[in-house]
Amino acid sequence: MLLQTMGFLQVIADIIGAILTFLMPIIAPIGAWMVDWITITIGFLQQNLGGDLTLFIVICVILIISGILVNIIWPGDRPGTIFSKGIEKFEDLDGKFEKTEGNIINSIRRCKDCGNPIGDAEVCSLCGARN
Amino acid sequence: MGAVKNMVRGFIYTSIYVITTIVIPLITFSWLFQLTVEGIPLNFEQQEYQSVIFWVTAFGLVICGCAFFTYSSPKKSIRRAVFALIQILVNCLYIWSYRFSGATDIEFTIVGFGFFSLDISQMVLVFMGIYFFTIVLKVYNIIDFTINREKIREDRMKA
Repeated sequence: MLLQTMGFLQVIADIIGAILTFLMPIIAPIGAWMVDWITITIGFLQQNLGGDLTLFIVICVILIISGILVNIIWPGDRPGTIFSKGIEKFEDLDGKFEKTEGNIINSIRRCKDCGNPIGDAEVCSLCGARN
Repeated sequence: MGAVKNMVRGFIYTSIYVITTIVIPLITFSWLFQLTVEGIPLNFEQQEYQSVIFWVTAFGLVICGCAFFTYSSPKKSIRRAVFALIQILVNCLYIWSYRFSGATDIEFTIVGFGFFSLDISQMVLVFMGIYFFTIVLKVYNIIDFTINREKIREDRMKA
């Protein structure tokens, strides 16, 4: 069983090896370029920030706090809270106006025959019917 | 509600990154430092042990911060793509810090028997080359999310 497993692992290793060998002419220069800039960056960091974790802790804390704040303001599933509050207020006001307007229109007395608004009058000014 | 859900997701992923990028490497290095074989202590010849620990912790912290920002951001958002790219770049520094600190070429000496060495620097080199494509993918994501911003936003509002 162990030998079978080893054989299987050998096949996988061969396949991965073949893929990597095929890709090596592309990957190697890219990897070298990556190594260059990473080495320069780490060298710079080692010279200037080596030995003090404070800055990294501060960066981490700032990222987490700013992440929380940004999420509160712009959660993503609706327009941002700060800006949408104003819009919601306007929408609420619109609704109130519509309701009030509707109530006023419904409360006006109308002529039974023609539907003309007559208010407190007994006789309709349009058709002359008594109400 | 969306904000709370995003932040919970962010904290979960941050915890995962804290464990995988800081806790496990620190435990492993501490364990290697105190490793004994049949009662004989291994002389961990890596003199820059403190340097490895420092850079692993330093970059680990930055990765965790970026991970929180990335995973707490809405899906397909530009800020998520940008911080994912930053996280990948810091990840490169993190991985390379192992090699830079000599952790990819460790030599163990068993007193009275000899030594053995572990050289994984070539593996890290190949990994770096492949990692470049991840960077390209993240850059593509930023461009894609920026171009299709309105459509993504509309779809998100509908959902």
